[in-house]
Amino acid sequence: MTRAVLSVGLAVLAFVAVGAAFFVLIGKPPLTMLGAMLRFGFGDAYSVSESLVKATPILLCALAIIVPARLGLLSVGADGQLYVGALAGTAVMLAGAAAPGWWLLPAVLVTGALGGALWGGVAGVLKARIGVNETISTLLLNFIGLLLVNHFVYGSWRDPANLGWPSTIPFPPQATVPSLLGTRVHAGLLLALAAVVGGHVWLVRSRFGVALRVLRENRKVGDMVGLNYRRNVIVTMAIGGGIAGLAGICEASAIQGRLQPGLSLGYGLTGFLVAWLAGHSFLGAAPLAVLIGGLIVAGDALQLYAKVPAASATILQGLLFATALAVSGLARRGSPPRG
Amino acid sequence: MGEAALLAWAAATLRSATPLLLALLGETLTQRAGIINLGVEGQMLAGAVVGFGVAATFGQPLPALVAGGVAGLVLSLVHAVLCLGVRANQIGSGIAVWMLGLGISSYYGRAFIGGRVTTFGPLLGMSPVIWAAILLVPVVGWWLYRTRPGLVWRAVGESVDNAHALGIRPRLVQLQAILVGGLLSGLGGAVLSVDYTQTWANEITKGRGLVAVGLVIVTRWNPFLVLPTALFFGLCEAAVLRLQAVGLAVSSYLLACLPYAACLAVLTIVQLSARYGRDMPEGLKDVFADSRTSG
Amino acid sequence: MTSAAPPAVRFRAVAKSFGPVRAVDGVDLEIRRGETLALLGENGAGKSTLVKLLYGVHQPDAGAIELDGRPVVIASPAVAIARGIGMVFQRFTLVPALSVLENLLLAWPHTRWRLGRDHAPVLARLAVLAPGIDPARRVAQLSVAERQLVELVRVLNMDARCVLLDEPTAVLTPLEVERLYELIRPLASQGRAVVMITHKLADVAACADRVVVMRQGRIVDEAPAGARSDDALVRAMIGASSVVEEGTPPARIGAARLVVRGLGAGFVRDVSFEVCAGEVLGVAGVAGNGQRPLAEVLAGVVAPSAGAVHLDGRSLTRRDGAAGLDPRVAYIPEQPLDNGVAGALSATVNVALRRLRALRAFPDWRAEAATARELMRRFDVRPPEPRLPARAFSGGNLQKLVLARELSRAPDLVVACYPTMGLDVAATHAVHGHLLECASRGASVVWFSEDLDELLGCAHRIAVMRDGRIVGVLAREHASRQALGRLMAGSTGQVA
Repeated sequence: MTRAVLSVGLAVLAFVAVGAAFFVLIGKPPLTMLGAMLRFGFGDAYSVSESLVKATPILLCALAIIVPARLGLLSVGADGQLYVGALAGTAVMLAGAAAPGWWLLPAVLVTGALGGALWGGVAGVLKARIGVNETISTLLLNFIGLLLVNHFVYGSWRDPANLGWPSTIPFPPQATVPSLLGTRVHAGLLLALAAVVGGHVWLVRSRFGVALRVLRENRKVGDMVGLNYRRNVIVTMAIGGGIAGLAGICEASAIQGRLQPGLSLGYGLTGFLVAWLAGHSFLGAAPLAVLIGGLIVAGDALQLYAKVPAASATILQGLLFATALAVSGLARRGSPPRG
Repeated sequence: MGEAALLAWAAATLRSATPLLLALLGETLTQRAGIINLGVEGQMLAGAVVGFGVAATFGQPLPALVAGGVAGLVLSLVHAVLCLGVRANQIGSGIAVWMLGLGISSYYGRAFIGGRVTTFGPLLGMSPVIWAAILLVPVVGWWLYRTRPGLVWRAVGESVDNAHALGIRPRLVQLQAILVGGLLSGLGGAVLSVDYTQTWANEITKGRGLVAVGLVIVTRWNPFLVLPTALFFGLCEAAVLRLQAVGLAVSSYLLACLPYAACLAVLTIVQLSARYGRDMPEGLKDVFADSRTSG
Repeated sequence: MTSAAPPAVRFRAVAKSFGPVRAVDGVDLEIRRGETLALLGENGAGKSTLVKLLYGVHQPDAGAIELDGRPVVIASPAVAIARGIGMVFQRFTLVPALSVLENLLLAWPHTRWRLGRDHAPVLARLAVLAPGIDPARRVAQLSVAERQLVELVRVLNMDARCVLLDEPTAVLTPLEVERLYELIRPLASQGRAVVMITHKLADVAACADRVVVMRQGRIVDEAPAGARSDDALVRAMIGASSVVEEGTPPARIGAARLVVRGLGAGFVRDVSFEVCAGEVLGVAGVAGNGQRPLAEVLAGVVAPSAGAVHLDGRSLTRRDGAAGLDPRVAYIPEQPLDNGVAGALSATVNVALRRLRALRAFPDWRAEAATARELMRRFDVRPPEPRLPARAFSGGNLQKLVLARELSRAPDLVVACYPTMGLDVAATHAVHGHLLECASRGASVVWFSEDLDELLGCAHRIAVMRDGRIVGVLAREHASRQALGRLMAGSTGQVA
């Protein structure tokens, strides 16, 4: 718990420093801009809801990265898993759209998670059985996942009624993730928060979570007491993939209302950043995802009102990441070497 | 297929392959010294936007390419400082560089969307840049295998400790490797925007830089194999465009998967074969092995 | 007969510490041209560190190093190489993925920018010293002896005027050792200063002009070769025992429980022995002679390449994909922080580690913590706080924690690998007590140690390992420091 608080606090401090430096560099008054960002991100109910909307897929993608990271795996594949999850869930939606019932939404969600789990599992199997590095394989699978969605959306799933823009038919109400309090924030956020709490408890207190920690900390010792590294590789990658798949299907269902290209606005990469900043802890990821969600929303608003391109949000994320890496690297230097 | 069509395919393949070739060459050299840089994508993007900007402003392609290379080099400095200076995790650092490149190129590229630039006139039917890139491959290969600095570079990639015991300064070599990688990938990005597409679009590289990092394994860290590997990727890309134009029934998107899927397939095959362990610089094995995540 | 020229190298009151450990403690030494100096001593005596100070791998904390009478600062191996000092390491510095030729070119000071075709000067010595080695072959494909030769050529190519050899015969077969002697002997006569680090008396007899014995960071004896008998050298190396350990090995010994036949694992070859119920078999020997691989194979951590281990008639040999150590075995690994615990995890988890797979999906951590606390109290782990991470415990307490976990399972076999290394007297005593208690309950105990006094006090029989083999087993009554030392150092002549 303290680690979560610490990581969030440090991230905020780092962001203020980095953000101020960035604005000075582009010739804008730093304090004014930072204040504006805070307002745009969290200033009123609408901003907060928009930030939460962005935070939901980011948080889920961060969790998708954190689960394998607990075993020491560096997966960057949340985007691909997100896409394939959306793909799988949409397939079920299309199949049931003609005669929808109450069962459609759960089926869509479960299939979405399974699709993502499958995509994560592919990378997991490649790593466990063959030893293919998971960072590179997930990066490649990201592109394939995205292209698969494009293939279907531009092809056999294309809604003929929608002339201007390629997409599927809209999700029927029975397959739409319900929204909360009449805002754009949807129940996916609740799922994410439940995952955060449940996942935290599970990873910290369960036998499985402890086994992951042992294997990551000292593979030889884990081997010695009979823990199976390879099986855990596949399991963690699949679980992570499932969570990202959930993000994908929720985005398609609740936010976009249909499956279309450009489903992910870099949520996978941002999720990776959040996971890292959170020190790969579930609890830390939640507030950080909200903060970064606010950052992105503020970036969009800055483009409208202050003529600062929205891409500044991406630059700020990059600077934040670099700063966090530098700080943790320097901190490790200070501590005595092991053994 | 008629001769004209064949030539057209070849030309399209070469044009498509060149940006990747440069990035691939750069990352191969970097990984040869034992450093993995996932920021190649960001460096390419930085080179692309800076190169395009210079070309659009001054109308000259050559300074644009140079500027692009320098932009990539400067961005790679971030990776160097993080990896060599504070011993940060190489994968994390590379992704931070990728993010920065992504952001910077979107940021400054906004002004250029839709613009057009002119490039070099053709030399023997193709852009002179392509000829230069093709020639660069054997030059780099010769340098790596037949000169003393190349030998030192390879030794550092195998074992930093052994190199140090032999009187080499490994971190200096690794710094050079990262910077050279940055220069070449920035150049590749500039070639992409200024010479190949001659226009600007957001995320113009479409992951070429990331593919390059993966493809280095396919090239078995051998610069000479960079050319056929890049050509293969270029062929896939050219095929997508051409088949689309012809109106072939195959979905262009499935076709577009081909390079990534092929890369993954070759990686798997290479990993299965015994030669993999032999070809990978030992220094990289620690990076590729289960990297410890922070915290 | 005084020589006007200063010695090639002189150490003046040189000292080097690593944390609390004084590796080199005020050494004055001369290394002369035209002479082969043998630097003799046990592991940890400081000989390797002393030589690495000369090669620039470390820098002295105190004192000075003089080359040809002038004090110098050797800040890195590059500087040492520039001054004509070459070192053949125990862990080779050859790059395995590169060819022999490329490795030699890498180290040669006159290599040109363009690596042309004509490499005659670099390869000349190779052709003379090792004509069978093809320079185009990758080093990874060479045998260990061949690599040693290439290393030697590498150093000679530097025209090194000072050649440092670190345990050159450590991993060679007897035939290869003879060939190496033939190469080392003429080096000094060519005007070089040669230093050979070793713990084997055969090396000294074959090559040395002068012998210097180090122990615990100091020089304890120095004499021309041949002026000291083997016994005298062994005595100087291991010293007289200062504390006589009064252990109480259990009186009763039952039938043979542990049966080891023809065991082989990498460097370890053809090991066979039996241990009875309630018996403590000590395994002595200088570290690096195969103790760790043998311990791991015995415990079942790794699979052997040959032979088998049986406990009470049932096989103990690890098969691939086996689910952890056999529950009958307690394994106390050396360097527990690296090999025995998950450092960042709490003591509770580490104590429960062997049972982890059998726990419920959501274990009762409260109960586990209580169990851990109880065990920690019983084994005197301080502080007895199970929530602390394992790495927070000091060396002695961590070792007791591992013991608590392993020995509380009432094992049938205990494999302990340097269990008291780095511990203070009190902790050492406690460890002895626990291991002996296990034996008194009927377990077979195999106890690897570098401390001869410890084994002499606690073991029923003591085996000696050298070069991956068991070279002798002495019953307690016949064992003495001298006898064991002779076996360890490889002195010729039968033991009484």
